[in-house]
Amino acid sequence: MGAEFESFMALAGVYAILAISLNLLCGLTGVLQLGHAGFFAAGTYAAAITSIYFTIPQLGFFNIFISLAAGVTASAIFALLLGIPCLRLRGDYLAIATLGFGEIMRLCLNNLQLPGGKMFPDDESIGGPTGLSFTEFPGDLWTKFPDYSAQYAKNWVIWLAVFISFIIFLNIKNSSFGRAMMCIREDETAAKSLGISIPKYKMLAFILSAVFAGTAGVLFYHHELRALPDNACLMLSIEILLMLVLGGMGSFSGALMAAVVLAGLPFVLRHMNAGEYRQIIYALMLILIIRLKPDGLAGMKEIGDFFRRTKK
Amino acid sequence: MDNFLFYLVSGICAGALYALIALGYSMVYGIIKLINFAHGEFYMAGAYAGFGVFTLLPQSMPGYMQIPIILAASGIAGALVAAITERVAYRPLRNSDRLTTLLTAIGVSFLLQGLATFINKANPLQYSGDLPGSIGELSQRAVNVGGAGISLFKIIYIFVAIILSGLLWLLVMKTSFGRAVRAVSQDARAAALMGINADSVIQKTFMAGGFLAGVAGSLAAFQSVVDPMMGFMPGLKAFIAAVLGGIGSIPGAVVGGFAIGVIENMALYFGVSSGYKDAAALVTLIAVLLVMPGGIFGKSSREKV
Repeated sequence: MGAEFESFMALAGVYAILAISLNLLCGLTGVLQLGHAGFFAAGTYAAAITSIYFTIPQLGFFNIFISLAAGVTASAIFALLLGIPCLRLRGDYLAIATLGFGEIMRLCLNNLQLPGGKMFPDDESIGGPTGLSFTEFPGDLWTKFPDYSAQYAKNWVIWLAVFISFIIFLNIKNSSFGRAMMCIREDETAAKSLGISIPKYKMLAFILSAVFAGTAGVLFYHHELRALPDNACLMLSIEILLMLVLGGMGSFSGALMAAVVLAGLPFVLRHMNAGEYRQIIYALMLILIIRLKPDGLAGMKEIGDFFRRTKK
Repeated sequence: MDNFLFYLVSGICAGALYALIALGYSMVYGIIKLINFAHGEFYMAGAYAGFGVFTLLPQSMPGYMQIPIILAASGIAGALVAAITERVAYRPLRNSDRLTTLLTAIGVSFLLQGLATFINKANPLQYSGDLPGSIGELSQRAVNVGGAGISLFKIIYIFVAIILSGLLWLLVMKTSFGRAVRAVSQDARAAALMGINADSVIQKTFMAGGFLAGVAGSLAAFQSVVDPMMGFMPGLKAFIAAVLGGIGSIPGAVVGGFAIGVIENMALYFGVSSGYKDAAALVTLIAVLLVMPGGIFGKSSREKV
């Protein structure tokens, strides 16, 4: 139970960051994005590349910040490159274009070949469909390069990051920035008439959400010590979207709760020997929640709203 | 110009399948403005049904006689799955906003894929090529094009695609049902006031698209395998084809389908490694949306922000 619970907590934390970052874009700004996993994968690969080639042993734990800088930069650049052409598109076209981005990301990572370097002296190139990982590491290299294979992102690091991003996003929602985004979601024409620059806010939301997805990717890499092309797969993007639908589009607290629930689901199913039903369960949840309870668990409410006394 | 002809012909053959699938996307989008994400799964369902019928047919039957039966069965299966999907999942959401229906469509797509994994435990099924004259063996026969062999079957794809899309065009342009389809796609409410049963027209449109996708599914399965995920990439590429041709337009879907097939095989010809072949279509999508979002035959749909 111990090891399994530990990996559940890590997954839940990573999912939580992914869900609340997507909520800024989908829930608050109303931009449907099906390529969130692409930015997540950009984060994992940026972390993998920095830690394979640029780890500084003297820094120890603080190497994670090198990865973080790389992951944030990579995902921000991708968001900028994708956002400039695509944010002009109408809702459902934009969704397909971002889906295309995610798939391109997966295909490119699938074909990515990197020089082995000093970490993998026996291999001419690393990467490809098996990704970048330490799990197939020859035994003595573990002892030779302990700094490269250290798991920096322990659960407390991940959940600290969840906490910090949650506070940041909650503050964004309660600021004029967040209100402008919600105004765009409700009515773009009205937003424009109020002097809200729609391209600016959509782009900001797009980049911010991508950056946090990249952060989640960095943490995931430093926990699992492997980056896979499948980190960019559509299934993950849909799963994150399902968290928003379950938690309630627009509610960061709801997204956080739903992320924990959905991270736990595979573990529960595995104990029930029902792993093969996972996709069907996800699909049915998505369809039924949209049909029967479109507000999800929390609607637009946040955790604080349940304790605050309503003034009449 | 070593293998240019080979890649061109392969591209046209692959494009024929994309065109068949794209027709359904385009018609459905034209009539209810829904990107039917589950369309690739109609293709997959057709392939499974075709294989099921194949196992029921006597082995002694020659392959060229089995093929029409299998194609008809897979088309009917595709149409049935499409009709059920429309009735159960999309009709209750007719008046919801587009993102809700798009999310539902994604859910349906995943649901159908998940259900298909229970068939043969998600292991791929293949038409065996052991018996001479069987479908599996026929599909291995090749003709020489530009210095390399192209399967005879792939050449047949082109004719099937052209015949079926021609029939669809006649159906939409020359029959009273087609007039009803065009009326509903212009204005469903006004069409209903004129005594057209819009729900039934929409359902039949879905069925026509599902039929074409089902046939395409079996055609593809003759050449490769049947598995639950087989509909995803062709479905995505066919959607791209529909966008390229101008979504909602029948000639656009056919031209777009052939164009996507040729584009990705030309990418191979010009030295893009085969791992990136699928990316060529996706890059085309983003480029098309950027440069001419209306597609070749469509109207502009750029959002003004």
